[in-house]
Amino acid sequence: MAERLTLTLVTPTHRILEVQCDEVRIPGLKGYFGVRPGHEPLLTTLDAGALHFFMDGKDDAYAIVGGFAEIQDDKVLVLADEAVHVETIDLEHEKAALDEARLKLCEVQADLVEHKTAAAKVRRHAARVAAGQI
Amino acid sequence: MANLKDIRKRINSVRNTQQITKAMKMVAAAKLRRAQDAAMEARAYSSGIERMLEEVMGRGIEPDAPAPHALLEKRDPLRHVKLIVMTSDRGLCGGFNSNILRRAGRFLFDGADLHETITAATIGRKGFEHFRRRPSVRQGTHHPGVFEELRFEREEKICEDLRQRYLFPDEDLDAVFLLYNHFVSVINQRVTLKQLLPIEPPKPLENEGATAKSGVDFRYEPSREDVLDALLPRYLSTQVWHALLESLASEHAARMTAMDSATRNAGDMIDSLTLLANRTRQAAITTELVEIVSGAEAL
Repeated sequence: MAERLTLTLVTPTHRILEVQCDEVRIPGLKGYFGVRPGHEPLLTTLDAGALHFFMDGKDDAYAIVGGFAEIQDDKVLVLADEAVHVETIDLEHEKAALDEARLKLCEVQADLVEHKTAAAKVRRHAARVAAGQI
Repeated sequence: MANLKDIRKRINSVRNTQQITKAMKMVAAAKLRRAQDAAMEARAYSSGIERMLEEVMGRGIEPDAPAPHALLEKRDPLRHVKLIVMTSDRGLCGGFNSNILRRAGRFLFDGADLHETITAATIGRKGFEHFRRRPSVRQGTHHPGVFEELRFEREEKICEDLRQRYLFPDEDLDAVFLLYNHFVSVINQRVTLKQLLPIEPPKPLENEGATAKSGVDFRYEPSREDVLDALLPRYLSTQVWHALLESLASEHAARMTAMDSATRNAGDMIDSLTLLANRTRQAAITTELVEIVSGAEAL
């Protein structure tokens, strides 16, 4: 059994990263879950949130939105709709954007298309805030 | 015989054209590189989606069992068919657009007996203009300006719209095909017809690794059906996205080749015109000399 995980993060337009790491925390649709070497094969859909990974006592994170993750043979493949590196996140700005998005979500009717986009906005900014706070 | 001044003028004009085609070739080459890079970057995602779909589809589903998802279900007969024709926004790219449109014409001709209606939707201005001049063809939606700024979100919206129309029982749509230029190499682009809906699952790779792996099944979260339900739309949109990038790379490649041969033709033309100019000049000198000599002899 390999001692380390290979984490690959990909979006529709870019290959974001491929690293060796010891542990990954993934925002699954049913909540965050951790992955370590020797994890069972798993295919899951993802929620918006922070993709947090640890190697050699260091950690790093990306804010991701939606997508899929596949874990097999100590290889973690994350296909996210979008991914933003934690260092590029302006936390204050994102917090303000999150509040604004939440307000907007309350205003629009639930059956409109705008409701969907507003909800997506809330999820995106919430993910970035979560990642920024790590 | 054309006089010297006219020939020189023509040489100049051809030279100007050559400069333009040369510049266009260089621009196309730069854009081609960028398009190829984008296609490379996107390949990781689409192959990931494909593999996941293979995993979900590949296990425990009997070959003749009913399709596990509405998007996979084959309909018979195919009464209403939609053809999406992907062309470029601009011309001057050799046979790029005419190849596609000729193939589209054949599709419409061949399918006339098989399907009740065939609708031609277009991405790219050239295709739109082509079908606008042909009122006998049922016009589908035109998606303008997709190539001006390629964005995945935008493309995904088109696919979502397509999917909803396909699933909505009152909308008459039984199958969707996509016609685009597949990028084989810089000098070779292949017109490709791909069935988008119903979704044709990727064919499992017949290699050792795949069979060895299939011993272990995955755990699916939240469930296999949910994963499949989320994967299929994604698969559809990555296919279209992939086609968009391929088409863009093909367009630039086709333009590059076309402009390269245009530049070369202009060079040949300049050579032959220069030869003609020199000959004319020499002829004029010779005539003048003959006149002088014969004039002197006459004295």
